[in-house]
Amino acid sequence: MSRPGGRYTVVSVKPRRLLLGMLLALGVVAALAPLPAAAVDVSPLNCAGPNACDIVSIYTGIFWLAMAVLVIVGGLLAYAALRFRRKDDREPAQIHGNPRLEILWTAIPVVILAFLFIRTTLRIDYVRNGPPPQQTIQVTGIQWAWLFKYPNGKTATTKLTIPAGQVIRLHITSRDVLHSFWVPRLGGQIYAKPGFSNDGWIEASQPGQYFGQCNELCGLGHWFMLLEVDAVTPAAYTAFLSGVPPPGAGPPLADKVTGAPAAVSVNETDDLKFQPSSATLKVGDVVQWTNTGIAIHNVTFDNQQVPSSDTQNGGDKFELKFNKPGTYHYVCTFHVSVGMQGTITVTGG
Amino acid sequence: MASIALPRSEARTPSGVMAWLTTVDHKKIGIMYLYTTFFFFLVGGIFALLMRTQLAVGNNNFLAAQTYNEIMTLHGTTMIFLWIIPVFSGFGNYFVPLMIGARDMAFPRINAFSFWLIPLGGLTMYAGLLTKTGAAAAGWTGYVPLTEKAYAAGLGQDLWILGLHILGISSIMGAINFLVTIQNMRAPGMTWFRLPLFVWAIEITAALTLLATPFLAGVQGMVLMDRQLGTHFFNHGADPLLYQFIFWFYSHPAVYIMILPAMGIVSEILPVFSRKPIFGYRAMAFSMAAIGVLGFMVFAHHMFTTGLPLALQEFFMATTAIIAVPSGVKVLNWLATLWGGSIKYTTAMLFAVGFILMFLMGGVDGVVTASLAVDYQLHATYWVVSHIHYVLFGGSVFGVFGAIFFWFPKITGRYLNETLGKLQFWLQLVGFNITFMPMHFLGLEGMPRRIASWTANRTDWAPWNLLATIGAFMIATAVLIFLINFAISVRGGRRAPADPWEGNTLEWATTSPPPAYNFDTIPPIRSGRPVRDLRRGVTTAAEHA
Repeated sequence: MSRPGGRYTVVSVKPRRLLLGMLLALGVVAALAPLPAAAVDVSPLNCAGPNACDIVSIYTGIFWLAMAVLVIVGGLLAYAALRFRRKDDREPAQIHGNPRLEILWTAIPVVILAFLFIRTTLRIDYVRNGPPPQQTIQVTGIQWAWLFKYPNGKTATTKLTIPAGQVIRLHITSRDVLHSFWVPRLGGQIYAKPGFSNDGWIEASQPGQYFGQCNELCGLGHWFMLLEVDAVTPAAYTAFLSGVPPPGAGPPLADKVTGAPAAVSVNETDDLKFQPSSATLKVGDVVQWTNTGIAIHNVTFDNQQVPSSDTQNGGDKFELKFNKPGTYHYVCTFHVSVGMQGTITVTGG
Repeated sequence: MASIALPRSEARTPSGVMAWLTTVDHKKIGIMYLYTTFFFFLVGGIFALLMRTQLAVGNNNFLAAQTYNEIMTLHGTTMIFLWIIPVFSGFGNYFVPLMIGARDMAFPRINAFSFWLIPLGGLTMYAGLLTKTGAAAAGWTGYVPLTEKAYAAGLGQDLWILGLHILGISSIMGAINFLVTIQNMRAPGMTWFRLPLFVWAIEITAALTLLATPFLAGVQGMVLMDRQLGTHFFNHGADPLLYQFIFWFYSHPAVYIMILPAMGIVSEILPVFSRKPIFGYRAMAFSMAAIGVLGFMVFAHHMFTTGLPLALQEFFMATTAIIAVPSGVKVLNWLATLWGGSIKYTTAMLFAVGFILMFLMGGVDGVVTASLAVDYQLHATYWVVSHIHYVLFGGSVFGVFGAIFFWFPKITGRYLNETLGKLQFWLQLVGFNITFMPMHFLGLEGMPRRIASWTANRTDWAPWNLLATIGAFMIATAVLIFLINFAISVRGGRRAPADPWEGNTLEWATTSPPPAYNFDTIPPIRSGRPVRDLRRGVTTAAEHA
């Protein structure tokens, strides 16, 4: 069919080089994979607490075993594919099989997979259930934000504050569709199911910010259903729970009021909009937000010196009296991903 | 063995387009399956390119979130239900009767009906795009309660369910047809253990389809009743996991419905181009059967993060580990088939060997997530996106292209261009790995799947996402090369003889293309490789080596 030095050699070198080049490129890429440092790091491999780090150690063992299988079997395949190319027109030996080999290569995967099973089983109770908790926090997923409720009744959206170095048990549920709570550097994913509660746990070894996002498709704003865990010192956590403002915060730029005549009324609609989305008023005027629909909303200002509302159900009102001139941007944290935002411009008296 | 005189109809036989519209011939139906499903492959591919364009950079506004969710849903649904599953029905239709020495499928009219439901189902699903509220947007898994009326008010979700129902009916009828055909219409001498492995694969796939698809139809029917009749299967406090259990009881076996026929195809191509019999024929058949049975016992490994009791999770981790064993056995038997062979690299063979390598990768990265602890972190991340594409694209779709290059001469009587074919293969292999290898790293860096955009402050996701998008366009270029190759070869390709590759199985014993009645006389079958026996003049069972 082909003669040495003929066209066959030219053609035959090419696939080999391509294949080797590709394997090399994959190797380089694999070696570089963990390297780039991220502005916001959500890599589960860069674990920051005992739950996530236990998973990393389980993963590491299984990963190298898997790599060994990949390299050995893939290497044999590549070898066979290149070594046994047709050189002449003779028919090779017609081997139909070998029962001993079949038994051997049934047994080897069994041993490898038994390792995976046992290695995981030995630690799974710890990973899933964890040590006895020191704090318990309620987590509720809502299209499209996370709501946190602390033991003393304090609530927060999107940002969960926890004490570092403590085991935090989470009771996770949902108010509407399925969501999944996930802060990769602190632990694995736990479903938020409407009507049911799932337990999970996290612990951050060191104070710091840890990020995550919902990992179960939950509709339009799913991609932006972000999540942040602020791990603080136990003292700072106690201060946070009691509502003492952190040192350095200035005087409030606006005050919560009730029942005052409103200069501006803003409706929160089921179209997921603030109407009107921008308003201008004078220092000392009151703005009233009213949830005119069924969907829940809130009013959350970028500037933390302006008080934000609690979660508002249909019909709920929220009123603020502004003390200082300026432009104040706010969002509904549930629907910010679909553009539910507004601005209040306060001019001098 | 005796040739059967076909009754000649004196009635007017339609010609032209009408001949195709009214045909009940398994070969014509098979060809229509292939054309139709390939069309859907192109549509699904365009959806994929749109998604990759959107995800190339962070905070991108190329697609609105709603549009992205619809396209993502339709990409998955198209590729699974309108491409991979029915394309194998196409090959099965054309080649199962030929390979077992039959004149047609057992139920030719039902066969035609099964085919015509495919475009109907697809168009029903796509019709959602024309409604004011858009197509279904809840992913191909359609989890409740997101698909309930309260959260997906539009007609798109209903059309999606109806489309699935139509496709399900097609699958079930097709499966019955294959089972009855293979059971009853094998030529004399074609015993179960002389059946080509592709026929084994179709047999097991059909059994899986018949047993599993009713569960999909049932669960979607429940959602539809919730939406339209006000029932409360999955709302008013019902546990949403019920849906997932039923859904995965279909959809996990469905993964094997999508890969087993490709395994069968590879098991046909390797022996021909390495000039050796398949290594461990019975082990290959039994391992497929084992995969079929175990395939029903692993489904809850899609649900490890839903809060199932640990004992249940442990059970499904064990079965998931066990099902990797027969898959491993298959890879090693393919390796042993190559070993000591005399391998000729046609494009078909390149795709078959490519299949094994990519399937190996997709098997290994899948097994890693069998570990519960690892799955808690990697579930529903791009790691899993990578895994499913290594199996279904690097595996199944490479198998399909192998089959196209292998059987094109039989179907058309002409070869596809080998130079263009090899160019396509290498570009597709490189492009595929550039697309999906980085997705492993994205998974390890915590990128969830099914997000319409990614927040740009996750800067370590940027290079891999860009690379994946570049790779996706390389794959598209490879497919474009195939389309050019097809356009040139279907009319102007080199003429192919009846047996262009020194084949083993019965389809090579008839002309290319085969006549309407398939065989003048069905050759004697004394081994698993009757056409090789014919070439070598073997006349008794004892002689075949």
